[in-house]
Amino acid sequence: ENTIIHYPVLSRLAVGQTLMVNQLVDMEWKFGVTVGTSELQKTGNIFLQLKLVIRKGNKTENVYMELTLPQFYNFLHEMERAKASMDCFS
Amino acid sequence: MADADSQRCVSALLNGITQTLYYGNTEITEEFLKNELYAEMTQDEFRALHDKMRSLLKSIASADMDQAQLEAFLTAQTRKQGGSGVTPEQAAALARFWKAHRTRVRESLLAQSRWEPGLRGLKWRVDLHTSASRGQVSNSPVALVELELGRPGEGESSEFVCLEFDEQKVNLVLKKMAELQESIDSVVHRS
Repeated sequence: ENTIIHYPVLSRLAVGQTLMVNQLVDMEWKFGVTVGTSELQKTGNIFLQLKLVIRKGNKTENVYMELTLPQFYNFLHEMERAKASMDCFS
Repeated sequence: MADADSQRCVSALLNGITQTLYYGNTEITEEFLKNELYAEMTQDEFRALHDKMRSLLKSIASADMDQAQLEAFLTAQTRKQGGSGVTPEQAAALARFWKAHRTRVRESLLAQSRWEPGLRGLKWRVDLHTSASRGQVSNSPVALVELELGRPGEGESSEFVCLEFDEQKVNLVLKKMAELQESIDSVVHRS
């Protein structure tokens, strides 16, 4: 099944005249190299953190994630595909 | 014969310690290891052996030792007087174990250094609202994106976040990602 199925997780609010799920307000990012950790003296791998600011009803909430490069590229690729789909209708 | 047995037990002990420390296996307890491998030892004797092996493994993993470093390290350990050193059998077992597990342990440590959940998966769909029970609709497309977030080693438990993007927001995200991409390129291509 390829459709979005997790209905229990969708929190739908009636705001104004439309039913909405969480709206993305902003996205921030941080990128760099981790040089070492308490468990591994020398690492040298990249870190990539995203913060999504989302509006839930009257308040905003931050969602944090830390991605590997493949995860980031997958996210980027899917957003480009979604945009291409939207472009068909606008 | 006794040596081979003893090495096998040490290897199994190292495996058990690694399962807990690095591979997220919560079922392998000290008690389990003692009963399986060193039933005839006293509790104190086993604890001393277990802690010593664990400490050595952590040192080796933390430095991500290569062959040469490991040899030098283990040689120094065998030369230690009293109970704090290792026997040649233990050293051999450690050497063989590290050779087999080094890559996987390092990957596990790198994954553990990411403290926020990662993006396990995502799905999206684009809706075109043509009508609604109340009021007008803009007739422009809306993207619904479902992000599946979760940490490594947490098995099945994922958090799902569902977000709505209008065209403007999709463009905003793509623009930010392009900036991020530039940043990545500048670091990745430099080395």
